[in-house]
Amino acid sequence: MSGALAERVFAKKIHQAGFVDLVISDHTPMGVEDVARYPLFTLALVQLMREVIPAERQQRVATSVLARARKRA
Amino acid sequence: MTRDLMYQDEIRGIVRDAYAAIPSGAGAVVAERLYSPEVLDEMPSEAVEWALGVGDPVAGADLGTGETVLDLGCGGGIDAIFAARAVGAAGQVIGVDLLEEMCERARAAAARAGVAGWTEFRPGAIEGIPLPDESVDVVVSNGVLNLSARKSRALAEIFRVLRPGGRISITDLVVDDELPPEVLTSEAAWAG
Repeated sequence: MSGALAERVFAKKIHQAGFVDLVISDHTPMGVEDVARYPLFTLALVQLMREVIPAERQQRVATSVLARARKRA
Repeated sequence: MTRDLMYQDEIRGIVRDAYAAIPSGAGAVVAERLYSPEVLDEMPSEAVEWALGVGDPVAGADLGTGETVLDLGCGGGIDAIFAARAVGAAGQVIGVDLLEEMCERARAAAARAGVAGWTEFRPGAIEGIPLPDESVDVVVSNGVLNLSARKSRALAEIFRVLRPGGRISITDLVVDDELPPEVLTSEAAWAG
């Protein structure tokens, strides 16, 4: 998650790679308790997130998105 | 360990080690949030157990019969199997993952799913995809791009291996606000 980009930066990189007709959809919030279900998030990291991320952000620390685009024919 | 800077090779090592160390994926609890019941009902249990994605890129790919699909960062194979069923035996699905042990899991799951004849799994990095130029119709990837310290390079590689007119369907994480520095500099947060 530390490597996740802001959506506009993510989109810019996809465009810069040469893709066209980019559509980003299916925005799904991921909260601390959602990421805690993944074994890659250690108990220590989840606990740290519970402690240092403000309460109002606990429900949305990241957003899952679907990016679709194409390479020009 | 808390530091201000991690280097690209170091991050890749952290991600590789973290994935190699986990005893299973996120399992049915997460898979049921991401995939339709129809997909999961016909999926081998081990592929569901090793689900680690953040969405359903295959459902968004509008795959057609006979297409060649690359699943980048295939993990235990759930998306590759789903894609293999969509393209049928006239198509081909190639899964690439940094870890050979993930490729082995995906091969076993594909065999159980009955799609081994038109799937293959290769170890490789998303920043150096082990495929020729313009060799696939569609690239799907699920929660993997955020793990790369060289995202522009990874996207350039995806562009390289796609045929003209080819398409991408990528699910990944984005962030609205920067995470607190204690989290950002956590090694586990790079792999998770």
